[in-house]
Amino acid sequence: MTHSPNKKTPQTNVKKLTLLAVYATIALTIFTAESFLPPLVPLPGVKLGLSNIVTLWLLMHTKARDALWVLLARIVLSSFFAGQMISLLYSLAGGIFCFAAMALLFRILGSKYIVFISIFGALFHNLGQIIIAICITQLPSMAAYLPVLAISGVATGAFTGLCAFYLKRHLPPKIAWPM
Amino acid sequence: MKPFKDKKTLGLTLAILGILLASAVTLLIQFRPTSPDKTVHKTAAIYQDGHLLRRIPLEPGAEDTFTVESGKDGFNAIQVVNGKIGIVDANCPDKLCVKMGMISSGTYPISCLPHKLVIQIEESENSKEEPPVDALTQ
Repeated sequence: MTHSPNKKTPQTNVKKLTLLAVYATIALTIFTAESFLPPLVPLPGVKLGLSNIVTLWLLMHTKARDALWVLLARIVLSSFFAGQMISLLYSLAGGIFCFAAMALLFRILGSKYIVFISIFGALFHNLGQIIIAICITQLPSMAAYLPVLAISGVATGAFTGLCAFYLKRHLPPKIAWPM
Repeated sequence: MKPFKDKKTLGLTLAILGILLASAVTLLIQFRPTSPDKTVHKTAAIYQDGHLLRRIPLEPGAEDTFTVESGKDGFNAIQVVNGKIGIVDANCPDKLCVKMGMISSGTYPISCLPHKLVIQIEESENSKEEPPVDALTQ
């Protein structure tokens, strides 16, 4: 912990808010840039999910609550840019499932296991999206995508997890979380 | 290296391998080829918002092109050709439904999630000597 709750001066609050806003911007930028990449496999839900690096990163450096706010800000803002309300629903379901799994696992395992945490986050993200897809289309057969999404989730989750792992190893904490 | 750390890593790795294995087995079952001594009747069902819009028998030689409207100005152009069905044009943002190409089996459905549109192939397998199941039950 780099900060303690009893040291909450207005200055640290403003600093923290600004820092979280910067991270939300970074996540939004990564998300938008990724959306320009052609899909790896033409199936809904198969994507790298690079902006999850920011969520992993914040889990390692600050409270889970802060990471959740940044994630929600990124999801809401990105669906404004995409201009589709339905994509907000999918992103929210995936994001909340993913976040719940990662925050819980992070509490149990800690940042040494960030790659595993990321993999399970990706798996739960895909699970959340399938569940919302079944709810929206009212077709249980959408679950047919699950095996492919599970395999791609392990691969993409490992990739983003490794990104977060090596970032943590090579980026000085003074730059990453100057609180 | 502390022993408990190894145990956790081992457990997590095994859990992930288990998930991968289960997915791979499910995929193999999904993609299993239909045996040649059985005739398969394929019907494409087009659902929008959970409601069945249309049912098209996918017989060889059947050809059709039509457009499904969605909302105010959304559309998906659907083509049936040579026992296959697919979305050939759409104005959804990601056009993933078009990129999914044509399908000819019930392995996985084509979906256009922004337009809440799903095309699913329903297969009914009948052995040549046995009458269709529907004839027995009806």
